[in-house]
Amino acid sequence: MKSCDKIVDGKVTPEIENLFDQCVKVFLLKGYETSTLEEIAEAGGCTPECIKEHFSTKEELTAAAMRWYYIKYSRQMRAEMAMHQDIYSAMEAVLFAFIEISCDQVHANKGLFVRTFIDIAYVDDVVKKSFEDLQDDWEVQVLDKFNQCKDELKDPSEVEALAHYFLTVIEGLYELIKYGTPCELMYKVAIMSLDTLEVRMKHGQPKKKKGSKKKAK
Amino acid sequence: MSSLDPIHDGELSPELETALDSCVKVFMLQGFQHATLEDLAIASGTSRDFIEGHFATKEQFCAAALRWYFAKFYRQLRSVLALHSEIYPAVEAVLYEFIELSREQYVAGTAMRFHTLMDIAGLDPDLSEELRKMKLEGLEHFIYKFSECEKELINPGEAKALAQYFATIFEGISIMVQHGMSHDDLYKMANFSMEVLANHLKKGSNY
Repeated sequence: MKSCDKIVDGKVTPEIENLFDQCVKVFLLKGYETSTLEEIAEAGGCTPECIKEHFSTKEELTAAAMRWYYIKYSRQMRAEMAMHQDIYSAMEAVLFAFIEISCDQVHANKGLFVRTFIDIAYVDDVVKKSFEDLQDDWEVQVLDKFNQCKDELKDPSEVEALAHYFLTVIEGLYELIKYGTPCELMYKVAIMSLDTLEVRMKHGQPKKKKGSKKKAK
Repeated sequence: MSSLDPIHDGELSPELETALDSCVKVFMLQGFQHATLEDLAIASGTSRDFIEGHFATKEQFCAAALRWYFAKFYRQLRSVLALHSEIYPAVEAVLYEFIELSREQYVAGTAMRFHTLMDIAGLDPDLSEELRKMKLEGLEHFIYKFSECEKELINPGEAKALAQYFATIFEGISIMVQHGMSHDDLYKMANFSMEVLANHLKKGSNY
């Protein structure tokens, strides 16, 4: 699928980004079933020809928009996890990056519409398949990092539960930021959530990471 | 607002809960702008007269649906919170109750599209304000409990941040329920989060 390859590469143009952001608003106001590619093009400020050049159907556009939402986060999360060897620093960096991206979205007046995409996925098989793949990928990324670092834990059998705990925290952060919780407070929440990990590590929190830039704020 | 009275106390039959969910599906598929009160009547298996007798507009219907959802959770959680004077057992009991309520809804298949309804509300200025107030109301009550118990904390200044941490956990658990997380795993998540609270309690606490 030509249009989706562009998104996987992360080389989406600002016009397409705007289109992805606007399409969900069109779905909510005009309906997922009843809205047309023309209406989405109008809301996104582009011509119907332009939109049809990239997406042949509404389902294809929706799946691509959902993928874009996920990839924007997962690319950064993956980079943060790769940059930090120990699990505490990796999870701290992932949480901070997640907060930063979400807050940037809110400040740029972009909606955080992942939940609506997921609800659409349950009425559209094309979108659902896309959602399930992305959700699995997201979970596998975090779980892989915990598995790589399991020797740092007092009880390595807790890797799966801890990975799920951080996925739960991330979902919660998304919702709180979406509904206007100040970002500074979210960094405090992220640091608190790391307590659960710290008490399970053989050697506690890595010393050099104490007082990170966000914590100092 | 008299039209909201039928569901003001948060008591709805399972049939009406399912009907509300069907209405949200109508909004999602046909659009908030396009959907009519008649569409809602068909989706909910009632009559146009019934719907129009209770709701003058779609916006009023949305506000009532949102209020129903929040009232149902808040009333129950508030009473559980009030049962415990110390912060640890209070939060633990509320978390467990929240898991049970959320699981109940998940198993019954109701309120599955609630986030979409909130996204619809977010696009309408009046509904958006209504939603903001409802969310704030629940959070303020929770922050108040932490403030009441701040002397139990090593650093009383952290009461608000701790309340926000647990608000994050509630939201996260709510999503995980919808992703189908098992009952046992949900309790495991709740217990992990309680360790954070235990970590901030003064030494000598029993938790």
